[in-house]
Amino acid sequence: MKLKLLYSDLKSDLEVIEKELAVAVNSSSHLLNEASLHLLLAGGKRIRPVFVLLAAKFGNYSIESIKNVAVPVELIHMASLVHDDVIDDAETRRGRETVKAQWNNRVAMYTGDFLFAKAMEYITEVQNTYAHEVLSHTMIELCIGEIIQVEDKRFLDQTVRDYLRRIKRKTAILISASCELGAIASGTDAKTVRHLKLFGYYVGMSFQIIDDILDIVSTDEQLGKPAGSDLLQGNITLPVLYAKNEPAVAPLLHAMFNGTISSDDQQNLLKEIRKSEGITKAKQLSNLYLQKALNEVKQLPANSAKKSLQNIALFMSKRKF
Amino acid sequence: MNETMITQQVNQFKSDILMQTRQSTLLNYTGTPIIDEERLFFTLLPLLNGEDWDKSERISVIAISLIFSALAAHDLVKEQNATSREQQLQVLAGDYYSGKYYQLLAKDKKIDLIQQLSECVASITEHKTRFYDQQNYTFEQLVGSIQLIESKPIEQFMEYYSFHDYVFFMKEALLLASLKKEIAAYERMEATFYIDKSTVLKTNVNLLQTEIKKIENSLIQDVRSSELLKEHVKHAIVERVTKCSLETQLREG
Repeated sequence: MKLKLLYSDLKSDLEVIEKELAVAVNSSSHLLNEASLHLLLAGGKRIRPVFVLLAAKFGNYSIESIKNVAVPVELIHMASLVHDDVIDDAETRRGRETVKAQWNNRVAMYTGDFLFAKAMEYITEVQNTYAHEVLSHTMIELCIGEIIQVEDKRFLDQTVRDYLRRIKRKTAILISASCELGAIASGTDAKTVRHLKLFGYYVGMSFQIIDDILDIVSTDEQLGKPAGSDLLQGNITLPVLYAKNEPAVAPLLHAMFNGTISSDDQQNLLKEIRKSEGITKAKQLSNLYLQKALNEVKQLPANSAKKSLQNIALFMSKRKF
Repeated sequence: MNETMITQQVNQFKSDILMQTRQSTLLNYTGTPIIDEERLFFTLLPLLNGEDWDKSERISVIAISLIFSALAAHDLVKEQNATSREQQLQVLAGDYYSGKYYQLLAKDKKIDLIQQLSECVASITEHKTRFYDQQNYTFEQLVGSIQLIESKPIEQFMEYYSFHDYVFFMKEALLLASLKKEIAAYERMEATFYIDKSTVLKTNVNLLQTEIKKIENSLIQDVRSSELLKEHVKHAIVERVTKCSLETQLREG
């Protein structure tokens, strides 16, 4: 089943969001326009806006007001991806050239800054000041997550706890904030907001672990970028952390980070990690977070969005690529 | 208030800004954020001139300085191959300072100011790309872009807090400072931020020098004849405005 079928009820509202995103990235600068549209056309799952909309269904839902939350969270996500591609020196994303590859780093920096600024312009339509504290805190945490990731590169002595703290900031917190902000903006009661916030956090954790597994087990074509690129960048993800001491993995991993590995052995390293217990253990932990997410859903009031949240969580945690 | 007290005020704000941006990894790899003291001085003009100034104005000035620090951090990212750890963190430093500016104003419940400043940042990035996309911008348009890039958030801050009468002095002085820096670097054959990227500016350096002289003369005259500015502020502005040209003269001499 395709992800979009799980939230087909939202189809017309997501079209509004898509149109609004195109309006948001419209710029008087020809260059920024082109770069932003390039990003927009690359698509993406738009999962963050979906969570905003579904969470808002627990309150007084109105697409006209809720789009002011859904659009900025997607813009923030897009902006952080453009800047990430500069950091990772990435040439492709979702099968397309990155902004930094098509133009250069400076244009990518301006594009990201432009999108962040546009996101903030939109969110200020929301007058609830707490919502702004949540989003600004999220943006800072997102950044700290990335800073820690750069700091932890090639550091094999890091623990699973270090990894979990990092992905919480890098990924889970924006998904959690999407749910929380959607609920706050529609005036949902505090108890439901809390369950939705936690749901987003657990789904985000599960989602990122799966993403890290897929980076190792999928093909270049499935990923739209080279398989194992996290590892090639020096990012140590959960499957690698679990597998790092296995006899077939350890020497290759050390050679990789010492810079003494051949390209054949790089492929062998990926093969060994794929065969290792690391993948199974990482899947187990992802499932644990999925169960926690589903427990939060159970405690939400009954409505159509409840079932959609449950289905999306299951889909995201079981996806193949 | 004399020059020492002005310096103390500027330094106090500088240290408040640094407090807001303390992050150990960033400090190790990218150092403290770039804070342009000249720009900070002109942001503080109403305070230095004795205007009423409470906690909100104070917070807003720190937030505006963080916007400029964020943009300055991103200007340090190389066009190609920013793969060193320092460069990677330079990208994140800018994003971090942006987040901090938003958080400061959000906590102060200045949602309308956040909106206005976000518009300024979007506009600044649009004007910065003018120097990149090689469109047919005129000399006047490019000078206008430089002025906007250098001062727009401060203008917004001054309008927001009804310090309208200071906008002209601030905008002209910051444009002048920026153009002087550009010309000085260009003459020393060092990298420049604007001239290097614009054929129009490069082929009109003489015009730029004339423009500098014109702005400087007119600004000094306006400052001296101003009924708004107090004597110590007039003195401090004129000193800053003429400082750069004195340095140029000394170097040339």
